[in-house]
Amino acid sequence: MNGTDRFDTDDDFDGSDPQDVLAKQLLKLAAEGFVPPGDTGADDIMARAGAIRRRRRYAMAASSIAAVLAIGFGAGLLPKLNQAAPQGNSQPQSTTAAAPAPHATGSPAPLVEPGGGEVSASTGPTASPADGPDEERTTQPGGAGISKQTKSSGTPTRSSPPATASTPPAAKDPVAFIAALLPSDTGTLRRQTPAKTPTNPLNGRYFVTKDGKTGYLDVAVVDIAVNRDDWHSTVDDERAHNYCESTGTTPPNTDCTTETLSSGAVFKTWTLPGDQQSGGAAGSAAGFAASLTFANGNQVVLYAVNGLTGPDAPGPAMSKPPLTKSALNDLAKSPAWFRK
Amino acid sequence: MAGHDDALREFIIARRGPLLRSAFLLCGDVHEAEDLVQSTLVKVVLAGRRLDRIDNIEAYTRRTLMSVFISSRRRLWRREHPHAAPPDTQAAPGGDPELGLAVRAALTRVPARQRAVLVLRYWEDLSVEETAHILGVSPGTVKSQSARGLAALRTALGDALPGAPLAATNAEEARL
Repeated sequence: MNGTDRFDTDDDFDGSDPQDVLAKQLLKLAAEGFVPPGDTGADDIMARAGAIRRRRRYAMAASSIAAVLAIGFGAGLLPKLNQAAPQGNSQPQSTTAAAPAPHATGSPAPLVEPGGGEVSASTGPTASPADGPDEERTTQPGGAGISKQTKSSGTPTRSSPPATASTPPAAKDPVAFIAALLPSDTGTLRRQTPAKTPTNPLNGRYFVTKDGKTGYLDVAVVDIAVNRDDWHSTVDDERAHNYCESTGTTPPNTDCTTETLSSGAVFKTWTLPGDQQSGGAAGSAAGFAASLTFANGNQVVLYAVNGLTGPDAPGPAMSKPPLTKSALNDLAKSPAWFRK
Repeated sequence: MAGHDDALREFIIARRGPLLRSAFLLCGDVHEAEDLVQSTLVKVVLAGRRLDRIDNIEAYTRRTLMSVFISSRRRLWRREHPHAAPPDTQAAPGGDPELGLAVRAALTRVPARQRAVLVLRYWEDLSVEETAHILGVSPGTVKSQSARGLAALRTALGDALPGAPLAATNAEEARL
């Protein structure tokens, strides 16, 4: 067998991209000869899971008892402490309460325009060439119902909570949720229905239509409150990753920046050159991207792209991305992406 | 509850083999692959009640395997020795064990995240979008990680890579 005929026999790969064919064949070769152990191990796995469940129940019961005891003890002790405290010493507790929220990024500016008006996806029945049954579309009329956040003129206090809420509307209506975060003149927003359930309810592609042109936003959020068991990047991973590194196959991204925010989060931005269109598939036009990664594993990655090109594109692409670089950066820094 | 456990048991029996193959490609070691799959399936069983609400248990399992694998690389990065262990797989009839071994060794030199993308895209044959959903990243990230992973694999393989496909790939690159 020579080097060539190792790779030219499989019918499965006919018509595929040569790189894909090569990759598939290499992995097939690597897996050849691997024989899984005969024992299914199902009983072991069920037994281990059962043991872990029991330990968790025991730990939960123990912590509940400890909490009840602590409350009882605290209730008895507090009156005594209050009596013992010096006069006029009521402020220090609120000082700790006013500490920055864990996701504070140094850019807590609201992303909804205070001026109200027609906000992003709120333009109602505007004709949209790509409207179809496979897309969700926002139903918010004229921006009504979109909550506004206003900057407190004084020192931030607990009375001006971040956009996160204990029951965020993201899962119920991701389109309206994201529309509320966009500048007022962004355009009509609709979501491409994901092929499979996304790992985070906000994740997916959101087409933005304005003046008959269609661009899109790609949203990828890892929220450890939602995606506890999922793979997530660390700040070190993200800091080390070079988004402008040449792949050798497509034009590299440009304008890469890395910033470590005061919270310790790593903020990266870069400019997308656009994909090479191949076959009938739609390729992406140029755009901007931003990623924000927190030490606790939370991460948001956003793309704002002119649109799609090629025969399968949903409509003519915009001349520039639906968000400016600055607006995209602000959007990425919004605390609204994550639950508490 | 018993019915639910039975369904999970059936799922484990049906999926353990394919998961082991994927895990083997990820880590390059039969025994570690068993550990990865064991940890993955325990998590799947523990998530059993939540899985009633997860449309695609298959996707959840793949996602968990990748998560377990990436976490293991973070903890065990010092222990990854591409040539330390002797091959512990059988030669497949008609295959090329020498090249297979070279590819396995080369795979262990590809960064873990890129390796995960390569396995999902080219072994599990998932689309860019499916891979992106499983890994919780954007399709663009999958494309770039896939291209980088493949480039790293080709570099690691060096002379072991046969000439024809590489030449085709290089020609393709030159065109772009």
